[in-house]
Amino acid sequence: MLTNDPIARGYLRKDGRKGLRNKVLIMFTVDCSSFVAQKIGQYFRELGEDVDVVGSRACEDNQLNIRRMLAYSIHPNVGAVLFVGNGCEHTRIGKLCKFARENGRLAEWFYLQEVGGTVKGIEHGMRIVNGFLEELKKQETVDFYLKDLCLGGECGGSDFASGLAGNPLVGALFDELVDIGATCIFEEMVESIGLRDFLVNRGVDEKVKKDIGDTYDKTVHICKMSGQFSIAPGNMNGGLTTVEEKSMGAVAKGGTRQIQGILKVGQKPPHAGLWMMDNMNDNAYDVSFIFGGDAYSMMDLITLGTHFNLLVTGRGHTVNNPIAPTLKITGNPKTYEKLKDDIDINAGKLLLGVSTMEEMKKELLDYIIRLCNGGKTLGEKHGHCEAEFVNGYQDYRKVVRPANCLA
Amino acid sequence: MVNTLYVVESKDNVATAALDDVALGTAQLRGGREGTVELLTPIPFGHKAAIADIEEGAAIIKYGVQIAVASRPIRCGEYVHIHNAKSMMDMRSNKYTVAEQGAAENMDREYTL
Repeated sequence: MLTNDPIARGYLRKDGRKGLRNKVLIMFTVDCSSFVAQKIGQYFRELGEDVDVVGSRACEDNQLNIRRMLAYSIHPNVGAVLFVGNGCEHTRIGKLCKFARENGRLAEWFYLQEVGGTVKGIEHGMRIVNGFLEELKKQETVDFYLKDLCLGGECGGSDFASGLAGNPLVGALFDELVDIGATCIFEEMVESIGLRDFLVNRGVDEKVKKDIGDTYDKTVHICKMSGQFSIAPGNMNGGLTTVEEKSMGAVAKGGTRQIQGILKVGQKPPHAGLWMMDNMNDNAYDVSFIFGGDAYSMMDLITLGTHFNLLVTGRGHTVNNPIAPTLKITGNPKTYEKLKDDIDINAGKLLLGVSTMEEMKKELLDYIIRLCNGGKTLGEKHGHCEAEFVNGYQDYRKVVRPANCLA
Repeated sequence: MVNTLYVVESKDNVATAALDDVALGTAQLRGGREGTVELLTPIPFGHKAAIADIEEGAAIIKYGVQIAVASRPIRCGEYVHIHNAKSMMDMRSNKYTVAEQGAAENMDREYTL
């Protein structure tokens, strides 16, 4: 039984959320400014400062990506944000900056066309970030409780062991965390195929049940229209025969508690509990617009404010998104041995019978608490940052049910 | 040599080689059902064996639910995978074939210019 004693020190944000990091985030809004943004970030990272760089490469007027940039700029782990643009692109960084400031973040922006290009841009950005770092060091911390925690659950490169060990472990921990008032969000309606009733029945009320059903229908519709379900050769090589089999394993990471609602990209959970994310497009049913992969999905979990994302892998994974560091878990003991340098937790011990579920849950929670206290995931230690935004379309005001979608 | 297969739920008609490759011959069942099964083919690590005869068109059951449909008759002890089991919904992946070294490949993309 978990208790709600303080587990770490956090940074209290204006909206009441608490961060476990006080990062400087550098965001480029177009490919043309990405080099300068990366150079500024690289300088500070080499000094050991908590500075990360993410961004959006396309020069398009994309509402979904604007929502992602806004959500990242006020993520609880972010204390300050520098927007770097080229100048002619659609995304107006002055407006992004205003939003971040209104939400209590240190924020600045500049265009390369205005400050004078590469060299002057890098120097200008370095001065701004130096100022941020000085200010951030003065900020006070508050007690952080388990109930303040917001975790994301994702699986990637699944195999037979994901459904037998890795995902059930995450689900079991989510159940306990939800019970003491924490927030857990799981993903992947595309990997809930065949499980419509199972998920709908877990909706907390009639509206949520309908939202879950509609989101499921939209997802199946997109899979059918595009001709692509979420199962790849690696899954099959790992013993999974169909997307139905994969789905039975994937939903296990959502545990067993009631689902409070569907969250679309950039929507903060209105209250604690278990939530499900929908980051599928609301239109554009083309295969090239969907299934951005696991790094893509974790990017969107972060727009909801997750502190850490638990990535359950079977075949193996190396990715990490530093804004909410990725904690990688495998249920396959052979994968763990092969990718030990990248995988944080070996849930393969469950299959081998050397650890019980209780012991594994404790090991995982202790690891998370170490991360809360400044510990780094293996992906962070390697300096991984798979975090760039990809265009898409969602209407965040409603759950969309395609008119011609067959239930 | 490990020769155990793991059954998730008692009504499953497949079992998983959860610890290692399992060779031809007698395998022990663990988990949702105890007993033995005579394997007609070796089962690669992580993959499934039929633990009952399954007719063509019948349900393949794991986790106590249907995860696939048999696309040809499957005998008890046979390897169950994409060569004899198909999704009920995912028509494209049903075209995958087992290529070299047992790896799954989609054959509807051209890798030439």
